[in-house]
Amino acid sequence: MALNDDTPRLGCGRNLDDLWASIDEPPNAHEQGCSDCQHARTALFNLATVTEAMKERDLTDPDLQPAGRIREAIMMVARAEIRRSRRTALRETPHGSIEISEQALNSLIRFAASTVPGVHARRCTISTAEGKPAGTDTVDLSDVRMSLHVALSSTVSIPPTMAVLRERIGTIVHAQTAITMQQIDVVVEDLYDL
Amino acid sequence: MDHANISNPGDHEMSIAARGSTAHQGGDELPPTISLDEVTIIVRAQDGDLDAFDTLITTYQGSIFRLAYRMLNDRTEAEDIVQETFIAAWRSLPKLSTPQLFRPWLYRTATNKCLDTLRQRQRRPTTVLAPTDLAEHQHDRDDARTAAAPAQSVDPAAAVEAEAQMRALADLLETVPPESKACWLLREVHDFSYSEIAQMMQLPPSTVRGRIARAKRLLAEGMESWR
Repeated sequence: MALNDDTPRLGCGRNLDDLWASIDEPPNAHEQGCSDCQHARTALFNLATVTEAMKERDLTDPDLQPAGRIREAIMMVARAEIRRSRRTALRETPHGSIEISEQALNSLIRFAASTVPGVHARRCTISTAEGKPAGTDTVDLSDVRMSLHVALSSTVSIPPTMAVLRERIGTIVHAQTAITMQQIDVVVEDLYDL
Repeated sequence: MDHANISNPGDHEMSIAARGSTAHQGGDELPPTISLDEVTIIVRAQDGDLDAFDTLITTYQGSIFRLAYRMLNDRTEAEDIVQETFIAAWRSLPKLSTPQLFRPWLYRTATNKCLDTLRQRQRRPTTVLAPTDLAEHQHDRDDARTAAAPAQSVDPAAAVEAEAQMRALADLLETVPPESKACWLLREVHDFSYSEIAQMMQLPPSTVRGRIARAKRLLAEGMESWR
């Protein structure tokens, strides 16, 4: 096999990559009469066979997984750096205030959405007033608005599902935090099972 | 405001337990574990959802480890690559504008880290681990696996031969230049397309094709003696 600047070529001038692309097909007329192609074809076929065997074995080889401590180390960093965003004061008590972070509120909203069949909650944004983007200030408890992007199953009817979703989010968030959502925008951005 | 802005769905589904926040406690019954599509998982991780990020680790840590292991031929370094790749991913996830591109984005990070590690080895040859350590470890495992093979309905001679060929291929990979090896592994083992690899490696597709062809030539020629 000869080598040029870009792609290796066989003695007959054929591009090795072209031969590889047709490795699963029967030899064409040129390959049947070309010793270079026949030799390379056999070598490439053998390589493909061994590569596939190694690939399959590696997939199921328990030794070819990182140790459990690696996941623990990654998650430790993730937990330490979690983006909790703004906080909302839920109640003042004689012992101090009770707050919920935007991150926790998002989790609660996703939980509420997960109780509606066929809904996968994705991105969730909390804002305090229409047209006022999220900042670093605390959220005004009396004026909490949210926008939730969702993926739906193609089997659900969107209007009634949205009605149930809004009702479910409003109910669960209020029951758990005493927050009354002023506005619940839902954006259907995907059908997840198509 | 219900927008029907439909985009391509994710290819995969993953399982994640839908859990309430710290504010959601007190014995409420949680919904059963549900199967979420991959894009949903990725978007949630971008939003800082730790459960979603943990699911991404579960899904991809094995394949990233196998890529790094075949690139570096060193288990400890491969584990370091997995750890560094996912920590970098966690920090950069919010910047990923297209969640559907998470997989190639993750592989690109891991591949670049592997190439950096190999460059550092070249600059500091004294820090290179003795390849025999890993080779012996791999060979011990292969031998143990081969010894167990007769219990299965596989021809023992064929099993030994297959193991020897895979061992030879793994050893031969060590002789392939790093960039060609990365392209070959991404194409032949991790099933990326030429154009995806070109984007990941920030190279023209023709260069990727050339590198993969060169790796194939080296490997195919090296395997000649095993036929």
